[in-house]
Amino acid sequence: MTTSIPGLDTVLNGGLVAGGSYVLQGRPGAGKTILANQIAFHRAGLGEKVLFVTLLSEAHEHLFKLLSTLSFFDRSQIGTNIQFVSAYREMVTEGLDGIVHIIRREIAREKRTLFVLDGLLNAHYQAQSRDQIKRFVAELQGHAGFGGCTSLFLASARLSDDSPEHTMVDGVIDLADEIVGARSVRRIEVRKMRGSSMLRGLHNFEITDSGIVVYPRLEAAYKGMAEPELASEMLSSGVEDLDNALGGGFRSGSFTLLMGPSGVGKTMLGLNFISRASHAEPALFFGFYEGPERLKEKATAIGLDFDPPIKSGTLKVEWNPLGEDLLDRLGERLLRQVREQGTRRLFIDGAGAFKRAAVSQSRIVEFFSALSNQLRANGTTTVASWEMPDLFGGSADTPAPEISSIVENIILLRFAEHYARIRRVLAIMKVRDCDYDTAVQEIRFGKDGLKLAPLHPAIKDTLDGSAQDAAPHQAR
Amino acid sequence: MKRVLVVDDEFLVAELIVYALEERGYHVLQAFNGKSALAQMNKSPALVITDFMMPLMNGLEFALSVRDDRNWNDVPIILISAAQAAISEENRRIFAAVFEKPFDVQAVLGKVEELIGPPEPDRGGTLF
Repeated sequence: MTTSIPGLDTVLNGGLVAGGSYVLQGRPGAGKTILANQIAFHRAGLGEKVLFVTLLSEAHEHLFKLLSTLSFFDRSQIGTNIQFVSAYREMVTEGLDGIVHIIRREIAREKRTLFVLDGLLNAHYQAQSRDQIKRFVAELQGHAGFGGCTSLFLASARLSDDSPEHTMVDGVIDLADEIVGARSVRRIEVRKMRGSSMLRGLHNFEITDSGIVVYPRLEAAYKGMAEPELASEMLSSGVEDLDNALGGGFRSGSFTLLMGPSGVGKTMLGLNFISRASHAEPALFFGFYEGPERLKEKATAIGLDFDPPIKSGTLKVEWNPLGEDLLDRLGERLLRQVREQGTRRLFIDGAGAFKRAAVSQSRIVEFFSALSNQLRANGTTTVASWEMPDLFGGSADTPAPEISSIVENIILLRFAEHYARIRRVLAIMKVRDCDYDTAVQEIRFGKDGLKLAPLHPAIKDTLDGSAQDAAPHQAR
Repeated sequence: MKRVLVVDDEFLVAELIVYALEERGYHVLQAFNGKSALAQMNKSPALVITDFMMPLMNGLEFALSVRDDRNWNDVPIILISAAQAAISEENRRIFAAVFEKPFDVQAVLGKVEELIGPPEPDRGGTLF
C-alpha cells in the first residue's frame, strides 16, 4: 500500500503491506500525526475509506486547523472518505474494552482500507497489565486486518523494543527530531518490517508545505549497484591545452575533482567544461556560491557567452544558496535534475557544500561513491570543484582520503609566488587508466579564454606555493 | 424545564457547548454518539445539538432515526460539524440549522433560543 510520501515508499521498499499493522512512534512534534494524515488523505483521494480514531482530548477541529496549512489536506474528504472519531470518553469511562467495542463496530460498518489510532500511549497507560495491552492491540489489528484494513498505531513516545505493542505489530517506524550541533534534524527509522525488506538505518526527513518528504540515504537507496563501465568516448574539457594534457579530454561518464584554494580558477575551468553544452550534450551547473547573473558575468570575463545555451535550454543553472541543507536532499535534487535534463556535462561548483550538509561526516565517502555511480550510470561526465583551505603551502587536503580512489581524475590547482608575482599553476595528479602529461602548467586567463602554458623547466616547487628558480637571478 | 440534548464524541467540544447552555440556563443532557443519543430521546429534549462524525452512529443517521419516529419528529436538530462536504443539500433540510466547526458559541445559543425560546426560570419551589 503506497503512502505517497516522497521517499518513504523507497525506504519501505514499495510501501506498507496492506492489512498489516504498524506502530508509528516519536515524541510530540516529531511528525507522527502529519505522516499518518498524509497517508490517510492520499488513500482517501484514491476513493478509499479511512477511519481515524483519536484517544486524545484535543479537538479534531484544532487538528484540522493545523493540517489546513499543508497542501495534502482536503476538507472535502472529512466525513466522506475519512471519518474522524474520538474514543477518548470511552477510554476514560469504559477502558480498553470500550475502545475496542467502538472500533470493532466502526470497522464492521463500512469497508475501510486504513485505520489510524492516535494515542496508543494513552491506551498503554490505561492497561492494567502487559497482557491487557497485548490483547487490546491484538483485537484491533485482528478486526482491521481481517478485512484487509491496514492499521497505524500512533504513540507519542518511543516504546521499548520488548513492549507488547512492538512484539504484536508487523512494523515499527520511529520518528525523531534531534539537535545536532546548532541545527535541528528530523530522522525516520524503520525499526521493524515483517514481510518486506526496507532501507535500514536513519534517514532524514522534513516537513514542508506539502507535508513530509523523506530523503533516503543515497548510499542505502543505491546499495549493491555495480559500478558502470566507462565509455571510451572522450569529452572535451573546454580547454584545448587541458585536453592535450589529459590525453584527449575527460572520458565520458568519468568524475573529475578540481582541487585548489579559493580564487585559483576552479570555477573558470568548470565553466569552460559546461560552455560546450549542446543538444547532444546538455550541461548543468550545480553550484552554491554564484547565482545565474554573477555566473554569466564570470563567463563573459573569459570570453564565454552563456546566454544562448541558457536560452536554448542546453545549459541549466541550478543555484543552491548556502544555508542549512540536508545531504541527501542535495543529492536527490542533483540526481533529479540530471535525469530530467539528461545531463551529459555536469559541473558541481563547490562539492564541499555536500560535506557541510552532512550531519554525519562518516558517510561522505559512501555518499560520494553512490552519487558518482549514479551519475556514471546516467552517462553524465562530472567535473566538481573542491576548495582547499590553504592559499599557499604544501598540504593538499583531499575531501576524504578514500574519495580520491572513487574519482577517475584529480587536477590540482595552486597559487605560487614567484619573484613577487602570484602565478596560478595546474597539475594533473590522476587520470585513471590513461597516460597524461605530468608537467606543472601555468593557468592564464584572458578575453581569448583560458590557456595553459608550460612552466620554464628551471622553476620548481610551485605546488608548495613558493616557486624556486634554478637560476635565481633571472626572473621568468 | 427545557432540555437540550448535546451529542458529540469529542470531549472538549461537548464540554464547551454544555457549559454555554447551562450558563444560559438550559438543562442539558449528553450523549457521545448517535446510538446513545437515541436512548436519551425518551427524556424528551426540546432540541438536539449533534455532531456529524461520531462512532457507532453518526449525526445524520441519528437525525434520520429521530425524524422517522413520530414521538420526536418535531424536535429541532442543530448540526455542528467539520464535515460539511459530507452533508448533501437534501439532508441539510433535516436540520433546523447547520453550523460549521469552528463555530461561534453565541450564534449557536442565539439559534437555540430562536428555536425553543429562552430557558424557563428555575422556579425551585419551597418546602413551606
